[in-house]
Amino acid sequence: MFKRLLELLGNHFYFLGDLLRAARRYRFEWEEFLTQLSHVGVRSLPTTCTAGLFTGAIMAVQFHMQLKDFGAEAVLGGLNTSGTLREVGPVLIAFMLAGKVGAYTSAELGTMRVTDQFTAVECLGINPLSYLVFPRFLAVSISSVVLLIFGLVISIFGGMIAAAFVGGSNPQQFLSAIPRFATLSGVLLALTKSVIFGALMAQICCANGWWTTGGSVGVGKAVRRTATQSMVAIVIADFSISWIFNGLQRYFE
Amino acid sequence: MISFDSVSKSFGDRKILSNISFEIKSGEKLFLLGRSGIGKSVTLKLLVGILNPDAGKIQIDKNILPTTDEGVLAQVRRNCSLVFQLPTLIDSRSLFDNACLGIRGLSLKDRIQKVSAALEEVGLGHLTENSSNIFPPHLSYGEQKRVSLARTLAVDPAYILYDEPTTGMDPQTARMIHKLISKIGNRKTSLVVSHDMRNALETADRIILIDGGEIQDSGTPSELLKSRHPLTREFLKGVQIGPHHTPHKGPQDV
Repeated sequence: MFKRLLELLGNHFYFLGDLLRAARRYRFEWEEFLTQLSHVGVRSLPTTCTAGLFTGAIMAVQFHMQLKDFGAEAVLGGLNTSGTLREVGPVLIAFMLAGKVGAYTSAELGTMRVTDQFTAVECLGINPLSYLVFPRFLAVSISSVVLLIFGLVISIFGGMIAAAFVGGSNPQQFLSAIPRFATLSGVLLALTKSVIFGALMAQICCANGWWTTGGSVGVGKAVRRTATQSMVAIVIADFSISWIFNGLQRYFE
Repeated sequence: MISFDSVSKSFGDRKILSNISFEIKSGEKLFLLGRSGIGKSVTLKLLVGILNPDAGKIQIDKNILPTTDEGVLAQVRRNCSLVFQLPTLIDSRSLFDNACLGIRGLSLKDRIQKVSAALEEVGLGHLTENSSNIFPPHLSYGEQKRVSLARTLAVDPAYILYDEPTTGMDPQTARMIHKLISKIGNRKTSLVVSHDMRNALETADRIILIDGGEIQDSGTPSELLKSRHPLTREFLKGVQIGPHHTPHKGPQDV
């Protein structure tokens, strides 16, 4: 088990090395990159907004249930925003993106592999890593970060709307409590998580797509591996980043 | 000229090619025939350096494979274009992008000219004007296959290698593709991997039959028709020599 995990990590690092070497050596494919940015980024916006909206709303409902017992509804906006930004928001939205963007990219690259498209491109004297994989890697990384940030902003509105409906809290009161809890370090933490989750998703989906073997069954397995590895990597990264940030925060205080 | 000199290839314990030697002369249309899974496609992949032989060497003009020199490999791939069994078009790229994938260092105007000529040659000239807005999933399988052929022609290679060019096609489209191969073969050296003896007899200048990793029989179509080799007889069984009777009219008739 431990050996297999080490092997998997090693393979991921090898793949990343090959990908970056190819990207440095060959011309950047802007057209492919922009197409992918539109496919995985722009088209995921409605789903991300929905996920963000409901993530904020779920948190608001839960916090309201707890806070009303103590008569502390006034801090709902702050606690809700802080909790969503720091922990729940990035993880939930990243899970959703791993299922949508990661699975899509992995399936697309896997199909290219099993239908010999990479080999065909290679036979024409073009490096498939730089031509087909790197633009997707970059598009998934960038769009995931942007989508995560967008989803987090929307989640604040989701929390505000839910607080108004469920708890009768007025939006002004909700917003005014935010600066007391959602500090700069919280925002930095959310941004750091977004960047790392985006990079992890891009790496995992591209590598699994590239490694696909064995026809349509292989594509299915690649998608499954992408979903599983992404989610596990996201929760491990989430814990690690939170732990490191906590330590740093205590150190600086 | 292409020459295979005592080439062997195995995958694990499975011996695919055993000490194979043959030559393809410039301008020749050579068909490599055999049952499925006996290493025909492997032969093509060895020829473009996607696989390396375990023993022996392959010479393509002055270049020798296997090599670790990427420059030599690039030159080999520029000279030998492989048309895959499946169309292998990039679904996210337009027909135009796919057709000019292998063209390097030319202006847009020249690329358009090359792609238009290639599409015209494969009987898809009517798609040229709109080629930037058409994507592979919009095309039929036969059309995709012809675009993949146009992509090869646009590179203008000296040698064209076809991997089972008509597998999975209806008889009409298969015949159309073979007509194309025959037409292109009049000015390009062609190596066609197939199991279709009928089309080989109609199109090839020379046919090689392989089985068990070795060359079993070879010769011109008329020589093979007289051959007593059991494998050749088996392949000839059921092949009716003569023109096809399937009428084929319209713009797709190339």
